[in-house]
Amino acid sequence: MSTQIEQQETETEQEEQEAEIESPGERRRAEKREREAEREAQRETEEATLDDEETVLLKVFRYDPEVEGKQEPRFDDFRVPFHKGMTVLDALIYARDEYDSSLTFRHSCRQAVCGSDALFVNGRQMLGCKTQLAELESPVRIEPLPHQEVVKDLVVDMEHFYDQMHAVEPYFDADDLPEDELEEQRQSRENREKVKMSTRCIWCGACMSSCNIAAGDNEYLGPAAINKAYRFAMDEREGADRKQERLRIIEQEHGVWRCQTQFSCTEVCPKDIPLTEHIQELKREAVKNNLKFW
Amino acid sequence: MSQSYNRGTVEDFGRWREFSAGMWAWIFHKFTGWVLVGYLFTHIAVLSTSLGGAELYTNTLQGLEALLVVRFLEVGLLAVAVFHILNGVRLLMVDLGVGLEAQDKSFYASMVLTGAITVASIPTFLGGPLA
Repeated sequence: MSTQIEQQETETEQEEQEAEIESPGERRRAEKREREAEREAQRETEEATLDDEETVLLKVFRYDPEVEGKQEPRFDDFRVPFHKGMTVLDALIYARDEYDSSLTFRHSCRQAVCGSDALFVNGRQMLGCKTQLAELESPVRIEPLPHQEVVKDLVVDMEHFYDQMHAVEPYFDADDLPEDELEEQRQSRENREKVKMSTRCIWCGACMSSCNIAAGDNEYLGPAAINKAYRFAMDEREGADRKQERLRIIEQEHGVWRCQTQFSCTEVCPKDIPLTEHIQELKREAVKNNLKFW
Repeated sequence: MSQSYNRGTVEDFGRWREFSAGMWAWIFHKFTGWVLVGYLFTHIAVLSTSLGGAELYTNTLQGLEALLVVRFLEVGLLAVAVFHILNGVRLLMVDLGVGLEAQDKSFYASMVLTGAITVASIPTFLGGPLA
């Protein structure tokens, strides 16, 4: 601790001296350089202690149809240094950067928002960036999502999933718009609360991959698409006509009725959306819509 | 979806160790349902012997009850029927949207209850004298 304080003091002294002769831009650049050097030194000391640290063994699915000799799927082992708070995605990034730059996987935001890195980890669909390595049994087996065509390594073809998502017309489309186009279209608090969980979907495709029915029936809309339909069908601002159209889409042969309540989707959803509950509610809506005793 | 290569146990029921409660409930419900359909036909076959007269019917039933394996099959049939009924009630609740958060617990409960009722039925089914 004492050394740190001293450092800070000398830094501020330096800054004061430099400010007199240098321009603000130069001063900032110098500060930046200093910070970088500091970080570099810290990284070096961290790396030096790696050897006696904990490691995690990853077994990663590898497959590349374009390279001869990699067309046969196989598992590669990577031993990655473990640090507290490390996620599956962190480990994959380390393995790619340090060991094998050809290791391919999707990732973007690294904070469970973009939905790029849904993976099949130890036999379960999970978001790589949201799954702590510490919670997993070793060795950690990482595979691409089941029931989807593998493009390369951990990358699967999401085209079919997106087709199903678009099939339910996943956009707000009210019957009547307010006269003044700048007027807000307000939603009641209760209604917002009702659709709240369903709006959380990040299109990662984990639910679709876990669904036994979607695996066998390619035309089945799947949990994610039905959840999207729920989000808009239950939105009171859209109006009765639009709701009718939405119900027509989801009550088709390969719509909500394919769901057999295995709860697989609900269990794997990284955003904890109660998918089965939403599908069941839409089933009841569809029945109420068609059975009229008056 | 078609696969360009064999992904082994990932794609099929080789993953059964990783199945969750809801999945097991679905599999057991299907299985017990088919067993009950199968039983329905044998049931009709046995009952239809009564068309050949009271004696034939009595003899058929006595002949069947004299077999130890039939006694065991009856215990199995009861277990299958009880599970199908209990899980059917569970599915009814799921369809009505009641207690979806407890769906796994209600599955375990129906399993336990099925086991208890089956065990309790053993003296009745296996107790009487053979032949």
